[in-house]
Amino acid sequence: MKAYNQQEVENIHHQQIIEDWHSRGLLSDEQLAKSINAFPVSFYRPNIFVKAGLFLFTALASICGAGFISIFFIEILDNASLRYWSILAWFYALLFGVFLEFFIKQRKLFHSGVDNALLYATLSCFLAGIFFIIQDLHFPLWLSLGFCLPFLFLTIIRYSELLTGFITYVCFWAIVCLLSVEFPLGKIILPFVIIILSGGVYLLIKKIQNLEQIQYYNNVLTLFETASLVLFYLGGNYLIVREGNALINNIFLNVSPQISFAPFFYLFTAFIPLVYIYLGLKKKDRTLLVTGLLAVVFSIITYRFYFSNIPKEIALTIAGSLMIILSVFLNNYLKKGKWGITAQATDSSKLSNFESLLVAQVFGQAPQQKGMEFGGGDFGGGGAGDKY
Amino acid sequence: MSKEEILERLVTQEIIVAKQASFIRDDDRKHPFSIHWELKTILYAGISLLSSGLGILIYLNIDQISHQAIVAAISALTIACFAYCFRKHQPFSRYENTNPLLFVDFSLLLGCLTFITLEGYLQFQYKFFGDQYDIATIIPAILFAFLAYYFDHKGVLSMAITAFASYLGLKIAPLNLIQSGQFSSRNIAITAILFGLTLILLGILSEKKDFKKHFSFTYLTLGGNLAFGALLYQLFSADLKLLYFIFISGMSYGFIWYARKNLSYLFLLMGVIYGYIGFTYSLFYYVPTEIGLILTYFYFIASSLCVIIFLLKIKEILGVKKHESL
Repeated sequence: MKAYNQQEVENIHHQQIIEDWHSRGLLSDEQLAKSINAFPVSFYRPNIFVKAGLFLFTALASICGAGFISIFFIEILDNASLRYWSILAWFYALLFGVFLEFFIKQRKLFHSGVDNALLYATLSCFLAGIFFIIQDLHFPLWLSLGFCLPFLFLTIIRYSELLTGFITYVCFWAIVCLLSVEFPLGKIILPFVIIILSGGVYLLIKKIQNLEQIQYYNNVLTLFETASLVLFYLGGNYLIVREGNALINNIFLNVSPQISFAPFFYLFTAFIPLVYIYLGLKKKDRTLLVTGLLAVVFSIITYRFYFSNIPKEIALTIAGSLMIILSVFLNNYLKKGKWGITAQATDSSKLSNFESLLVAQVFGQAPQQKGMEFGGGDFGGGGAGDKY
Repeated sequence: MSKEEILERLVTQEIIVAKQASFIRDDDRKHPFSIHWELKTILYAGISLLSSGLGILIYLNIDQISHQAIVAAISALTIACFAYCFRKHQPFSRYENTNPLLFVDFSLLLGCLTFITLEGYLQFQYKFFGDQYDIATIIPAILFAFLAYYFDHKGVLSMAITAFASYLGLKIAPLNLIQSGQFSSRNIAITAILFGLTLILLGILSEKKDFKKHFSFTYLTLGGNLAFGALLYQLFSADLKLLYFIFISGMSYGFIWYARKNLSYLFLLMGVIYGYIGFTYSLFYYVPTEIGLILTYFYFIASSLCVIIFLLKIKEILGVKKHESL
């Protein structure tokens, strides 16, 4: 049922744990080498840049291959109904699928760019075939998506691939929301449906995450975990609920109408980010912590959207100063480590090279000849792009 | 398999002894949770918000605040930042500073940003440099380059490079490179090529001479993309296509060779992609258009397959063992 050797996928995970121990100085170099050998992985897993190149050129080859074959069919299918096109689409899907399986078996590829590209090609051709068949029937959108969902789900079961996982997740929630707004009551309780369902999904994932049989799906589960956290917060965020409510009821006023249960959503917007951050620090869970930090930002935006009359520049200045002060304070306070939290970098990251390129992008806008004029709000700002 | 089971397996295979296993177990429990990157990001974002907030504030209140006061305030901030750096910094070394002080790095960055603001303000208000825009752009470039080397800061180095580029009339921040029309005149494309090659040369030199070896990544990425981009632009638009084709092939080969030597896959990818675009364009330029759709498809399928095989076999071609870098 699984395309990749399950034991080896698990071994990848074990090797990461072992390398983490080694980087903390708990294992010697010799022990590292031996430990890695105890959990062998024979997959071909290229570096991220090689992966990008492989993906790009596989996609190019697939598209040209499909175009090449279509030359012979285009005249036959020219006037045929769309239903016959699905045969061509499924033929492509079969072709790509055979290549996909062949490469995985023969070259032991594992999420290497080639198999990702072929998987997307297979899946999109297959689903396009379904759409060609059912498009005459004029199903509502949720039903059409419902036809795709089982196939997407089976794809995850077999390949455990990230982007497919993401699309499946989006597809699932699109069905839930579209179905819900079909009914008058559903429109009112939609936020609660989202909160309860995503909360449930999160708790379920947390429960099964450490099971041995589930290690194969580690990457997809992490994605679902993060997405559920984000959705749980957005489901109860006052801005999203109020504007979303106006949108699904087709109300287009300058100021969207107040929603029912408003106090609940005020509290939810204010406290959930803090709860995330607290739990993230307490459980040493980076997903929770980072989601919480981003949620704080969005909560502040929500507040400013309805209530704030502080002008933008003052808000920016105050927020910037507070962030600098907070960061400096915490950095000093936690330098030696407190409550199991430290401000010191525990892993020397390869990312530092990219930090410099990021600085070039965000800050690296030295005065230019035409830009010497002192104008506009973008001046000296971060992310100002090429406007001044 | 849980961590516990991994440890058991390692003990039964006699890779580690039981005592070490219990030590690891202990350390796993006590190991602190690092929020270093989160704090760093907050600091970055804070600096960027503060500087845009202040920028707008000054702009809006320009009538009420006296210009001297503004200049004095910004200068004071700039000087304070640089003074902090000079007080706290570690002694200069030609090698990478493996233990950088977070606040020295950031006050250096903030100082450089306010320096640009100050310069812009002086020019706007007092025509400080008159019509000599050249001087206004070359000053930060030189200053930042010096500061980058002195304080060992890759971010400021890339700011210096972009400042030099804007002195030459180029925009080379990573995303600007993609914007079209930037090489719209022939001269500026040639300038871009020469500047890009100079940066590449600087990168190679810093590595050869072991002088700030870790700067070479910044030099090579910025310079490589600039030179490749400008060369491709020239290949598409200029007359001497063969010349530029040869240049691109040469650079492509150079980047792949460098990638092979340093096991650096980013440069491998750059060499392959830019080389492929250059080769494909030249081929279709010289081959008559009558070859038809089928052969065109054939070329793309066959060439992509060749590249895929090249990339799949890259470990054997590059002779990579275990060690990997970016």
